[in-house]
Amino acid sequence: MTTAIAPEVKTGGFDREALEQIIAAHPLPSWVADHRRAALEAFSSLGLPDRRSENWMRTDLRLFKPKAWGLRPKPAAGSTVAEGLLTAGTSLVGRIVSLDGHVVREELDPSLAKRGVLFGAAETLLAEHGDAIKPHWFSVIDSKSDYFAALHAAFHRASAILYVPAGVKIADPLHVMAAIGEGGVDTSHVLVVLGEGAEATLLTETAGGGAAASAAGGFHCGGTEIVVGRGAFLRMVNLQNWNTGVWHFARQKAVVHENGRLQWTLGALGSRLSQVAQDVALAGRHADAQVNGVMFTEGRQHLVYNTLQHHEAPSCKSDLLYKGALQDRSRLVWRGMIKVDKAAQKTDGYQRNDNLMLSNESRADSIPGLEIEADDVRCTHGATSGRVDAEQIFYAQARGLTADEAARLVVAGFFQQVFDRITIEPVRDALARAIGSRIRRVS
Amino acid sequence: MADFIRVADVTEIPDPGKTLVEVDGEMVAVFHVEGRFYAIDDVCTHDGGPLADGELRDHKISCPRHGAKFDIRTGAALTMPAVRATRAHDVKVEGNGVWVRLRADATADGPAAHATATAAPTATPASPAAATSDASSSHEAAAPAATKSGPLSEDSIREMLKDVKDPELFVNIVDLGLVYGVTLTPADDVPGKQKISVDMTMTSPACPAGPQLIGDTKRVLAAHADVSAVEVRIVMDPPWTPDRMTEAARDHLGIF
Repeated sequence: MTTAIAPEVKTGGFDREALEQIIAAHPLPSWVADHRRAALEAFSSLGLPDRRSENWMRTDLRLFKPKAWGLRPKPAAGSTVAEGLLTAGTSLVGRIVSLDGHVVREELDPSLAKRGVLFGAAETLLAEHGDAIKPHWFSVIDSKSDYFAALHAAFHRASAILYVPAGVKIADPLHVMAAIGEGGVDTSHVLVVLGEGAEATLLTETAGGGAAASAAGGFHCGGTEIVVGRGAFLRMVNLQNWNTGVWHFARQKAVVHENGRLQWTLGALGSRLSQVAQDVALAGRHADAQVNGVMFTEGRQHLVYNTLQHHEAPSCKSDLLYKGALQDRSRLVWRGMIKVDKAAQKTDGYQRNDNLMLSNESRADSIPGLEIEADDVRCTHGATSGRVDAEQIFYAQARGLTADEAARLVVAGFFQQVFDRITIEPVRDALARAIGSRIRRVS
Repeated sequence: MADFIRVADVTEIPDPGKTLVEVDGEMVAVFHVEGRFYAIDDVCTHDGGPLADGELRDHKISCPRHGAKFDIRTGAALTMPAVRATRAHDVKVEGNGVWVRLRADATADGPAAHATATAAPTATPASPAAATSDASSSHEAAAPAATKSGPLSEDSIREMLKDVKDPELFVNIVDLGLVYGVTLTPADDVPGKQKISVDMTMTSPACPAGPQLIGDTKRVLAAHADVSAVEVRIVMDPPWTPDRMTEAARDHLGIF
């Protein structure tokens, strides 16, 4: 049913006045505000993305009403932070929790703080350590590339920063939870900077928002920037676990420098519509990026991923594997590109997308692409889409399993290949559990 | 089961015409053709993009991007590149409003319930009570129709045969120029019914699609209420040549 968004949700919209309120709320260095205002300038002249552009062709925004959303001055009464999926079984050395765009919890192991690690809300860290963060702040993602990138760059709030100085190795993971209540808005930004030879593991997840049937839903317009310094190693996990009424737009990009390593895992279980740009730039020799994607969609969910593996420097390696299972009438779109610059000789690039359809009405689009200017590279890609093999189900049933158990087994086997690459056990277990609980009978 | 939702005034959609509406968070295309209303998903099953911006001709809507055609009554995919039906939804006219109820799944087997406008858009509306009762009866009467009707003639039979498509070329046998002759003779045994004899050819004597084309031809014609028997004769003289194709078929195949 078409129902107007409840008036108390509509607390401002995204305009100059709202921006000045955000700026006035925290005393931060003036360059932070200048950046916001410049982004607003760009935002004001941008319309919603054109459906004719390649990246938005398969994203239906007609039911997205930008004017229905605005930032809340404080978490709505009754909004609560949902339990995270990634925190179980992990010993965390730091955590940030936000609700409806407001940080409600900030913690960092004091021994790490002593070694110069910065981890906390941007509102705090930009004020105290602005000089260290300024060179990286919005240096990685293009804040004027489209409507949502500009909106995010102007109105980001409850953002998280992780800064690990050169040589500091953090063994245990840090965790960022961005939660919203029904009809909530989240514009949080995540900036991760690893100095030379540093090591860290950051788990981020989202939760909450309205369910598919509710009129309120939710709106996330986020951005993630990752800088992996020379010889540094980052394990990054983003789990998108909104309820199925939430609109999710995310611009995410990592730059990996010489000998740096990035293992980046994306999990997607929720949202009504997702539009995610995930870019990795290999900017120094022998940089290595492994990208893993685990998606499970159901109902009328529609998830779109545009990925880019950009080889800027020679002798780098990138390896992307996205796996998705689709149930009901959901839809999954992956459009991947490996771009190799002229200078990037001896590139080793790979991308692969596998989709498993669990229903007749689901739809998966896989669109791999290569753009190669160098002449001495190894770049390959692959994509598969298919149904659950009825013979496998039959075989399992002949061994005494029920049809449901058999389906779960087949889906678990399908995802095993990508789970094997995720070296953080609690993350692997959480994803497997979440997917297992969502599978219904295969039709 | 979802409820009927009022999506438009009867007068808002010209005949023939179409409009896009939002129902339960989904985009639905509503059509008004020959006094009746129909609703299908605004989704082309070929590329998943929107459909309703395309051209509406009779009961067919063409996808604006790649030209796939769908039957607005059933959602059935009529031409390549679409092969799967899009969802058709239930429609009723009550009072002065057009109401749509979403269906759970895509079925192109039987037509969705569709509604007749109780009053022409420009005519004075009937009293609300009368309009309501009319509408509900037309809704109930809209059970899947198993047979076609209408007067039989050589032209109407050729029109029906346009539903038979060559499975490799995706062009119908009439436009391909495969149908040479159609003869109607009154059936001796059943009064009022007709026997139909079709002379047709194949693009080559060894055409692997032959049995399918013959079977489809028989099936399509036998579905008509006034047809008692169908005979299909394959003739190889005169031989078929590409010259026999219509302009439309040439366009479709990219032959100029």
